[in-house]
Amino acid sequence: MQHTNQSLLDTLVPEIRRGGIVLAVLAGLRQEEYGYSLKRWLADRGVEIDEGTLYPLLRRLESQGLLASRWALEEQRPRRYYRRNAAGETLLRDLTREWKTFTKNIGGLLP
Amino acid sequence: MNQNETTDLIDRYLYAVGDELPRAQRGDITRELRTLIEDKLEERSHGHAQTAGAALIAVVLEEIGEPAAVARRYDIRPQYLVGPRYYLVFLRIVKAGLAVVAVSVVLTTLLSSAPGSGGAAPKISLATLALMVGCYIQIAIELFACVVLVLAIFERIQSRRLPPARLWHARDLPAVPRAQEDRINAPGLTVGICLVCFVLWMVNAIPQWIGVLMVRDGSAPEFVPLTAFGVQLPLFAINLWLTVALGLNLIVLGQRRWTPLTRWLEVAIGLLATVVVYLIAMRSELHGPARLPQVDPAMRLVGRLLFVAAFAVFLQPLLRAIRLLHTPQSPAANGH
Repeated sequence: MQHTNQSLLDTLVPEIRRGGIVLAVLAGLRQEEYGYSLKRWLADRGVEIDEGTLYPLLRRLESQGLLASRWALEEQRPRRYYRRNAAGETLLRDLTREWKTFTKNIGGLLP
Repeated sequence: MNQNETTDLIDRYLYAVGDELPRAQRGDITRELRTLIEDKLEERSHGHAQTAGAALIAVVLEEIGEPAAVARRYDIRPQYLVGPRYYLVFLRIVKAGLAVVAVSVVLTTLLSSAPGSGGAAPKISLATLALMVGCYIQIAIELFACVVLVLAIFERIQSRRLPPARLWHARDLPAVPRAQEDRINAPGLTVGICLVCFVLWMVNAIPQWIGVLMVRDGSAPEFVPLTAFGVQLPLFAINLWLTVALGLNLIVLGQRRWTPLTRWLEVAIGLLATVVVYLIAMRSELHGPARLPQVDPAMRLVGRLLFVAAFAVFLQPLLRAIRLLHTPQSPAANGH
């Protein structure tokens, strides 16, 4: 039974996190960041996202017209910097409102 | 472990990832991944990424993930040819197509095996039957492949677009059909609309390409246009029939259900179809020895089949009309 609970937890926790990751990434791009600096910024605030998830997500958000990006050379290393654009700002605002309502309501249900 | 060996490990990793990526994104993504690897190495080796050993590099690469898995996360293209969005349409087209091909192949075999003008006995040998089955399998595979190809292209075009925000209101929902047979078959209607458009185009633009494939005396299959059988297409009647059928299909698709009115319209269109096939049969020069004694028996067979087809087409509206007359009318009729 203990094993079943653990395997269920392993399945459900990523599902809970999945919705919040987009919100966290959009919130983290309040200024230009490259992938790894964004990852560290989020990790410092307790939101761990592995690179295998973060980097493709940044690409996807960009292809959906929510982020802008540019290449820049820093410390002899080419880095791709991302930032929210106007559509990203709007989505972040709407998602934040939804998230706050959701967490407040769910919080009211929990023991 | 020297510098070359450690660089080689990273290069091999990036090459393996790039191998699984779409060509257009390959350079850009691997460049970004290289920076990520170097950033991680620098962090782990306290600012000396160049001196990182192979063991540390291996740890970092394994943290990022197995190359194919990493590449898959970047690839947002569908991982299937025909997905749930088009699967029902795919089934309908393939089923209808296979039925049409079966009928066509049987007819072609009958025509090809009909006795010659010398009055010899019909020749449907085992070899002919084997040829018929082989021909059916070949066309069926080609049809299957073509449908998969077209729908796979649709899938990829659709996957590049964001799903449209659909605005709908509960009050716009269609009424519940009063009987099971009032329920529409949306994919079937859509396929029907496409087929009607295609036939309209064919009849008006390339009528010379309407015909049958014939195999005579073991020679290679030969395309014979309908006009070679003396068949004249009543263009006005065909256009009228197909245009009305197209309009009806669009209306029913829009209403999301059949009503008694549209069912009676369907009967009328079925009768119109009967008239069309009958006109084709009457206007062809294949009625047999009474009118044209020199007509080839194979062609005479086509002439007779056209009358059989007219009768078969007539059965559908007849049965539908009988069913409609025996269906009790309810207050929900016509959607009121």
